[in-house]
Amino acid sequence: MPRTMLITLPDFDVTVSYVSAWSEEIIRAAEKNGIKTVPVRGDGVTRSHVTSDIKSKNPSFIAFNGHGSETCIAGQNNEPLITLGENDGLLDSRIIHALTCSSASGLGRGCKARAFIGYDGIFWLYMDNNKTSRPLSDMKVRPILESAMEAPRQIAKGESAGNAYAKSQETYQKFIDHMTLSSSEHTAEELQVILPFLHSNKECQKIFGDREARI
Amino acid sequence: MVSSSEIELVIARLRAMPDNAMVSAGIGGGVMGREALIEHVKNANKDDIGKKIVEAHMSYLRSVGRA
Repeated sequence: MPRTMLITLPDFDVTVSYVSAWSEEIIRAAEKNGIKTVPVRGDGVTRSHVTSDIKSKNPSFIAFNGHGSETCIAGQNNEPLITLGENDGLLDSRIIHALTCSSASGLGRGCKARAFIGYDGIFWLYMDNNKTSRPLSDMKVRPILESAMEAPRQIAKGESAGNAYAKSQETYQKFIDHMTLSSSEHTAEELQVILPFLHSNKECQKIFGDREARI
Repeated sequence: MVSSSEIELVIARLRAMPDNAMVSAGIGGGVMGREALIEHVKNANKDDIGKKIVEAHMSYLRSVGRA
């Protein structure tokens, strides 16, 4: 299987636009590591397009960004891209990172990916509504998205899936400790809301499959 | 079953959320400001998003208590 990363970058609502914007660095990390990248953006994130790209490019790593459910990963306008029991064979033998709500619990557990990192509950975002047109300048979202992005970033850098998961968990904890124990750029009032959601995302992050798998 | 004391505690914490902040709860919950979050929590025993918000807060508070 070629050292290729396919990454989906939908942009049809605020939530997925944030996740996609913060994912651009994953593409840079992969390219720096000599990995061929196949970014699928915006209206291109359809089931037919993604299916075609997976079959033709045969990526060893797929980073999905979008909404999801226990059995499904969605694309632009919530079109189901991968559904357990329907077309999850497209994930067979690949490393998968799914930054979606809930897809780890059914799809991640049930598919035959070589390794699957994702979330088995709600993936919460805490954002500044004055920054929605410039997601990368929104520092309120940084603890959540930087922690989450650590996993695909490490895989793109050539780390094993197990180490990528561990480093993402460490990043979550580093932010939780920093924000709990020391002064941060967030107000005390904000921390009352951010920390539970950051902690919940950490608890919901799961890994299945071969922890030694690498791109 | 979410207790009324848990609901009151989480609502009190959410009331501290700044006006310019919003929370995304994914496909099921969309993007919400403070008042929408509080409405979900008020109905946590019949509202899945409200229940998840309470669970997130109580799980965090328990983790702090263990530390």
